Amino acid sequence: MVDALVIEALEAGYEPGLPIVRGASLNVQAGEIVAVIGPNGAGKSSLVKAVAGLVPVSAGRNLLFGKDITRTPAHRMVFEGLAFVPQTENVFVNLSVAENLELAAAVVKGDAQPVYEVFPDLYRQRRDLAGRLSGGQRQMLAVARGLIARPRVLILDEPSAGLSPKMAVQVFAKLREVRDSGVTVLLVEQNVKAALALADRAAVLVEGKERIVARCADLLNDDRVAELYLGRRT
Amino acid sequence: MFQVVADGLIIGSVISLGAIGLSLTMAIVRFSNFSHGELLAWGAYLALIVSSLMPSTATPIGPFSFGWGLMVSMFASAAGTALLALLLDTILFRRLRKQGSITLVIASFGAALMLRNVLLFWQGGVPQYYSQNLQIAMPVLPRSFHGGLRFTPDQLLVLVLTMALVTGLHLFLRYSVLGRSMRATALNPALARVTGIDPERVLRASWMMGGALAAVAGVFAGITVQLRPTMGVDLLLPLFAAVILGGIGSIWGAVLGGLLVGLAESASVTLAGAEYREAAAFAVLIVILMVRPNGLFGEKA
Amino acid sequence: MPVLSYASFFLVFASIYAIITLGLNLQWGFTGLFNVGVSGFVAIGAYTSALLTARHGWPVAGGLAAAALLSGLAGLFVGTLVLRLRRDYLAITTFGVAVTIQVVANNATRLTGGPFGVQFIPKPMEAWLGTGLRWNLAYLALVLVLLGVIYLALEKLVNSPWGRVLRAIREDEETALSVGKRVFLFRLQSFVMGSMLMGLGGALYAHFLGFIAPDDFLPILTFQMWAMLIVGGAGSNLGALMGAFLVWGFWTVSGGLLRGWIPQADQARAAALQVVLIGLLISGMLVARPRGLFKSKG
Repeated sequence: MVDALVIEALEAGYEPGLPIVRGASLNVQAGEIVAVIGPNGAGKSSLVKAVAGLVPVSAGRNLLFGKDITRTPAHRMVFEGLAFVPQTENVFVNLSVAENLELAAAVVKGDAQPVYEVFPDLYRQRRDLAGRLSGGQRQMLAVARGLIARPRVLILDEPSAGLSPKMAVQVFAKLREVRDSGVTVLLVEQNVKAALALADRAAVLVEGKERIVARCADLLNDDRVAELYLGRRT
Repeated sequence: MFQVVADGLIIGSVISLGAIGLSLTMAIVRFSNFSHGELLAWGAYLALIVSSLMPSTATPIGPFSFGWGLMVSMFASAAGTALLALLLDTILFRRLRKQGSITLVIASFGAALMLRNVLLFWQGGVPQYYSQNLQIAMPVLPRSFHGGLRFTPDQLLVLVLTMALVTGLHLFLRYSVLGRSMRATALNPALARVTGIDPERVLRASWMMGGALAAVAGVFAGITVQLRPTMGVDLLLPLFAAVILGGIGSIWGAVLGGLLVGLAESASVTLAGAEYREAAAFAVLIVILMVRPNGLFGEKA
Repeated sequence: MPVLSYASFFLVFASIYAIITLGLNLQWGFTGLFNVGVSGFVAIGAYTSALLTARHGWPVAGGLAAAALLSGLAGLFVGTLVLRLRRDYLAITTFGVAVTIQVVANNATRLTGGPFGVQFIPKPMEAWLGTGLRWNLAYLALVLVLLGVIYLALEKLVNSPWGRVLRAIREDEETALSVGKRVFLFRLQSFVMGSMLMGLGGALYAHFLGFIAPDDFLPILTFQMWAMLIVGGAGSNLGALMGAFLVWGFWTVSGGLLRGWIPQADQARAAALQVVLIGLLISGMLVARPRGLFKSKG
């Protein structure tokens, strides 16, 4: 069984000589939820953006179900089966909910209807302007948009950022639903407890490289995680 | 008074069509293209050249001053100018994209100077016209009624065609996939990419559309006024004023902005004399920058 | 001695252009502000000094000062309006300034003399030296002294704490923004000072020739100043200075050659061709050596 996503010794960053991601490696198996956690500035966002093609890669490679997508441009990713949900500005605020989803569908020659079935609230709000939605609803729209292309792997950058705890719980519940429907999920998360509760496995990223990769159940009791966050040497 | 408004609408039509293309490139390619005016000039002159190759088609149609030849030439010129815009991007702007918007502005300034002077060198400085046929203005309202209102058939056609074009453009941007992709790219380029929208395709489309619209605007300017090698740079300030007034990235903003700038120019002719026309566009620009720099319908700050 | 006379003409112009280019360098090279309407600011200075001295009897020194002041005020107006907005808005607005100045200069005949401009502009020291080569050389000396003073002052300025903040703003605006409102003020100060230099250059031009007309301040002038800066190297005062002399040399030589080759009747086309050549030069430099010939101070 080939892994859904393999990140191999990845080096990436906006400036050519200054990589933020420094040799990170991670395997994500099909059908699991993997969380990337770590202190601020560790490069979690840059890591997933590099996989999605938004940050230039200088070394290493990314494999999607065995296919090398390291050099694939960002706009081709959805056609390869990989969808990315950015942290901020993740919906087109001047378009309605329906316009957001229908555009995404039109681009991949897909259909928005199946997604509406997973997100009935969005169907009710389909005529509303995306910019007028609440934070939580906007996040749902962003995730829904990511699912339009029927990806095999969904990557999210801090999906609970800026959300109330109640909304965050709803978003995470939705992500569990998404995984249960067969989509592999990789997410960056700042909220450690919530991440460990949601995911199957987690990777702790520090200074651009993964330090621990283990099952969440094990990590919940692992002191090393706290130490890495607080900066003490392991 | 009505005549002032009418004249303003005619001037405004030309400005609107040019401003739409400029607004698109400012929103999608993200820099102020100082060579956009030259696309209008080249569009006008290309149509002149092509139509002169078909002298038999110069017989005027109906009440208009030009024949079928010019209409066909306009299409040919639109295609040619679209390619010219694309060529400019390929050999110049594309290479400088990484260096930031100001470098692109500088390069466009240089490109404008070259395009204008090649045109000057090639065509000379004397004004030219599509046709020597004079037009008689048709009275719509008598002079006794607030100065009256008169249109020439050419002017009416320009007005009608402009409205048709703008409507078609609106429908395209609203309902076609490419059109919506262009709007999305203007709103949020990174999100557009992860949604699967090819940025290069959108860029090419916006250059070509901008070029084609500019060509039509140039031909309209040639029909209603005259052709001069400096017509591009003469329209540049009004074009920018219209785009900023309407809000970058907004088609209807560019149209409204163009019409308003046209009205301002027309009014200034009545109040201050024809020589101060260009100052009117500047006045509009200053006012909108002081009052509402984002423009009327600005989609992106 | 026609050679000496020609040389003095050449050097006076080159020096005046160098002063203007130094002003442009302050705005662009050190602050990253794109002024497309250089000719407008130069014209403001030229007309201010010309009118004050020729029509109202002001002394030349007063005229020069007023020229710099008024151009500076124009810079203040424009800067306050657009420096907080999108980068290219400055380009568009300064472009508008140049166009509008042209329109006013050409049409406000009672004020500016219209297309004929202003004549009989007083030449400084004319009473002692008369006209002719001796006066040319004396004027050259004056301009060179001013150029030297300005150059040294600018060098000191860019190496001072003020200059270092300016460079920080240009390099990394995000971090500089944490300095807050002051980013805008620094940019404004730089823009105003640059405008003042352009006005001064215009006034020096007016008092050298003795007559000015709107056609002396066409966009081609802006283009020439930019060519000088790009070739010499933006961000370097030495580059701005050398660029001025080099490009002016190239311009006069190419102009002379083209006038020789192309028949009299086609002079407009010759001028157009000259611009195309320089345009190619600039585009080539931008693509091949974007830093210019002289390196900036980092």
